[in-house]
Amino acid sequence: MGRLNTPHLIEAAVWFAIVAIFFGYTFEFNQPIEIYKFGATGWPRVVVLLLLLATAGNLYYQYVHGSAVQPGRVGVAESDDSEADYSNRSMQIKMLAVLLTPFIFAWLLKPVGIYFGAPFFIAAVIWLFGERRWRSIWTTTLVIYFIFLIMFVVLLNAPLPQGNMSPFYDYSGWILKINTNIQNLW
Amino acid sequence: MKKFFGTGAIAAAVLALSTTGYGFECAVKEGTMAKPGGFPERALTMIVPYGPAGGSGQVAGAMAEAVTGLTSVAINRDHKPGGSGTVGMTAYMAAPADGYNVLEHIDDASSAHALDSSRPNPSSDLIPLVISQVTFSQIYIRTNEDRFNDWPSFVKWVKAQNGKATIANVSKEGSMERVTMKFITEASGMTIQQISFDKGAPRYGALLGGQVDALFEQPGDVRKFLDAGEFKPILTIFDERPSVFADVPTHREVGMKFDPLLRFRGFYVHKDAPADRVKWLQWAFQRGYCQDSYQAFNESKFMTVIDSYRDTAGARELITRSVAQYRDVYKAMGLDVK
Amino acid sequence: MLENFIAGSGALFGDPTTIAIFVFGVVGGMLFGAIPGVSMLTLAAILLPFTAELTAAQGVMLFAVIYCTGTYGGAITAILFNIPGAPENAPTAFDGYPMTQQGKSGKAVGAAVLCSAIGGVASALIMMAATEPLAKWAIRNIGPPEIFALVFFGLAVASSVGARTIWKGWMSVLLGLLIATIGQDPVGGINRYNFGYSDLAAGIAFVPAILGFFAVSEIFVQAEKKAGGKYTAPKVSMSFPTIVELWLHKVAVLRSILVGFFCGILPGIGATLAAFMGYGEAVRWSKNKEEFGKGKLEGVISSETANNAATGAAMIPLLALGLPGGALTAMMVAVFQMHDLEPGPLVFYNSPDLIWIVFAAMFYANLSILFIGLIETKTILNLLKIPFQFLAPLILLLATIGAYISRGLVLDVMVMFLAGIIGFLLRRTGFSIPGIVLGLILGKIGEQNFAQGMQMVHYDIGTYFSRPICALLIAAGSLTLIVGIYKAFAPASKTS
Repeated sequence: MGRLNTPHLIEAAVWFAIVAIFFGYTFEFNQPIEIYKFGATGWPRVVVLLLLLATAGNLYYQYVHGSAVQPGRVGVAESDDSEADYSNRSMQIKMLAVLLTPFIFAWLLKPVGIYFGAPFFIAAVIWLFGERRWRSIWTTTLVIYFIFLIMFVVLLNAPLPQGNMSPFYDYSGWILKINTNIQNLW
Repeated sequence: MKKFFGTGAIAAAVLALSTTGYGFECAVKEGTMAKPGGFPERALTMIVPYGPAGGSGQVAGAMAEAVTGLTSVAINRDHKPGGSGTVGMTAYMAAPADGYNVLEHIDDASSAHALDSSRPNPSSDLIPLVISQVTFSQIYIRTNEDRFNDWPSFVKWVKAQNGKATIANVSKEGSMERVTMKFITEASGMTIQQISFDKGAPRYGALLGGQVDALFEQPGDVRKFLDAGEFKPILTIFDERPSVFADVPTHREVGMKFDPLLRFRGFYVHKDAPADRVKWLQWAFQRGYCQDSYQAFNESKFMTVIDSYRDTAGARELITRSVAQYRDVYKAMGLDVK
Repeated sequence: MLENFIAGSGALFGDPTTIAIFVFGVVGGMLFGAIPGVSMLTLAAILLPFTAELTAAQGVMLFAVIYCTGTYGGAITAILFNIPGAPENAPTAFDGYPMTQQGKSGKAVGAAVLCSAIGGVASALIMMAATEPLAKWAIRNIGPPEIFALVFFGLAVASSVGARTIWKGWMSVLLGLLIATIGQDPVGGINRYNFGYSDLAAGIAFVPAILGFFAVSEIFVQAEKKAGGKYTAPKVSMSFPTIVELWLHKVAVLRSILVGFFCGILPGIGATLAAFMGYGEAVRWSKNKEEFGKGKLEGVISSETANNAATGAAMIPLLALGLPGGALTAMMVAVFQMHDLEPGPLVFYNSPDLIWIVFAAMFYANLSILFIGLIETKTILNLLKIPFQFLAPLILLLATIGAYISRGLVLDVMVMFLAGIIGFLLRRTGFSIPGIVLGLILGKIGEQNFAQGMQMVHYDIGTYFSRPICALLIAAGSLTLIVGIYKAFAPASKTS
């Protein structure tokens, strides 16, 4: 096993899996292109092949040198000394919630829209970052929500996701109608 | 450089003179229309399935400006580029059909439906409000080109290169551009390497810089190069010579027999939108076409060279004909038409 | 030239509205560049529809000014928060953020202010003198084969920076390239890797990826520290570098101006490669290579001089050919077109007034970084006093809007948060996040130009290498690659 340890093997497995999935999927779009010899799959397959070589090279390097930084490398980030302790369960759940909440918010943008979803998202993030005073949570939420509405809706009229499900879409429509009335004031 | 610019100025003047010869008559007489049930009481959202800089982005901007000028109803353009217009179309079909959401799209929607009928049919799944740009394609070469100077000499030169001559074209397989090029090469018996560019500017830069020998494009998109006297058309792919390009032979004149595929851009609303709202939108967009600002825009894009206007019925006819045409072509090409 | 410049300056400062737009651009670009989570691209995307209300000269000038000051503004967040406002500020974070951790943020910001101004002003001057002749040369001598060669060279350089080993450097870059293949292929428009999700036909854009990898993942790191009770606000100092300190780096500044300008002038590449190359060259010529990445002032200087030096240069292909060098210059094309103008050789003849207002504005915008930069930086520093649990939702919401606005796709917001999670997980594994981002940015350009080049030379490699610029760049990139691999097999240090 040389200097290989379990994290090295997991890392290699993840990268080999990426290589396998991306190579396998090329057969889904393996159509010839009339005017181009290498077709739609030529470039991705070369990239996948090079990634396979680089991953193998990386594994070999780790086999010989472990996690050592290669001499002469530039711009390598210092290892983070404040690594959190993931042995306790509440820490694991907290971080999982922090990582997944924004993703769920993004996933809900299509049906729910940003106008309805934003305040809940803001409040959730404040809570996840450790704030437990409810008064503080909702006042900050309102302040941020109004900054957002004034800046992007009233001043800039930015086209933002309105949602496509009732009653969320109707709520977005209501906000936009108020905005139209405000715009008509000047 | 002075000399070069002089040529450009003369070319521009000639073109300007020739385009002003086209009179324009507005097909929609009513200058105002009552809002049905207060609709629209807020800004409309116009989904544009392409970026703001291309032909679609520009026509969407010009039409939005015209409609807002006419009705005082703001239109927020929501650009959703990608997937040759499919991403914007999918987003539009998922948006509520309440009349507040309208769509800009081009003939790509028709060719996509022709290839795969599960994709929305612009003439039946949508209601065309107006088609406001219809144009044709041409083959261009550099004006200072000394190896050939017209279509016959170009074909002769290309044949002598044994397939090594190049022409810049768009990238999408099955697109109007690629299908038309296929017709041309087959009809003229020449082999030419098409170089694919998905964006306009690099495509034009390639001809300008001598990276390719010719270019397939629509006149409005290369107007600046025509005005500058840098490019010149040697073949028009249309049934008759538009007077602006009176010196350029059409594909039929040089012995090609295929029906030309046209590029068209228009505005749509979902078929399930309330009928009274659709009626108002039809009026607003068809009348918007008549606004001076929109007409000036169309003229600057060579969109008054042939009749660019289609109302709902005319648009449906154009779309249906195009879909049938593409379907025939795709079948003949051996593509898997669903 | 001087006459034109004076006329341009007169037009710029002779009209109160134009002055107001100029000031708005300077402050707005810097602010949006500096606020974590949004960037100058966000501001540009939001402002685009409004430019229709301005004159063409005002609209283009506004974007040009945002480009100059936004490129600088991104450095502030790169240095203070390890969040580059744009990819061109990524190398600034390599040394800038360690300097902040060491309590030397003032020195880093001061150097960024001064070097951005110097790089930008120098670039603006060269741009004014050289645009026309250089454009004529490039249009005939730089084609797709050369662009591909340049992309290859750029990626080879990127792979040697930021990761723990050459292998991880290449794995990072190749992952970026692989992500870039998602969406339609650039030759036939065939859908690739859509995994049954139709929006993926639009491909993965780099703006949300940048926001995710840098802004969002940094917030996750702060959240982790909060959860683990280890959060400490960044140490901020306002001790600016002395003139002597900066004078010692005059060679680095000059080298970065040249590198930045050269990279910026080539269409489709822009300031990002300029910053990476500027940084890479600084390392290559340094006697103390190992000090880079640990808080070396020269790292900040090289990167910030080079990226602002690219701003003026990037205007050359844009104005002369209509070819944008990056995302912001691409938006400028839209501004031109909204006014029924096309950037291109004709602009020089039809609208010389526009050109010279823009040139003059860029010159003054870069100069104003010197004066407004420091004041505004202090304002930004006050952001740090806001408790992070209140700053985080604001940043995340702004980032959501920033990711969504340029293409109107919820997919982009999801990509951003996913990139945030991946960036968070990759942090301790020695991979290079800037490498992934650069691979993503250059992937599509690289593939497209490779395909076009191959079609042009009829798949004949001999013809390909008979183009001298092409051969030179491929050779240089290959050499970088071979040296890197050779070193990978040399004995490693014992530290782990």
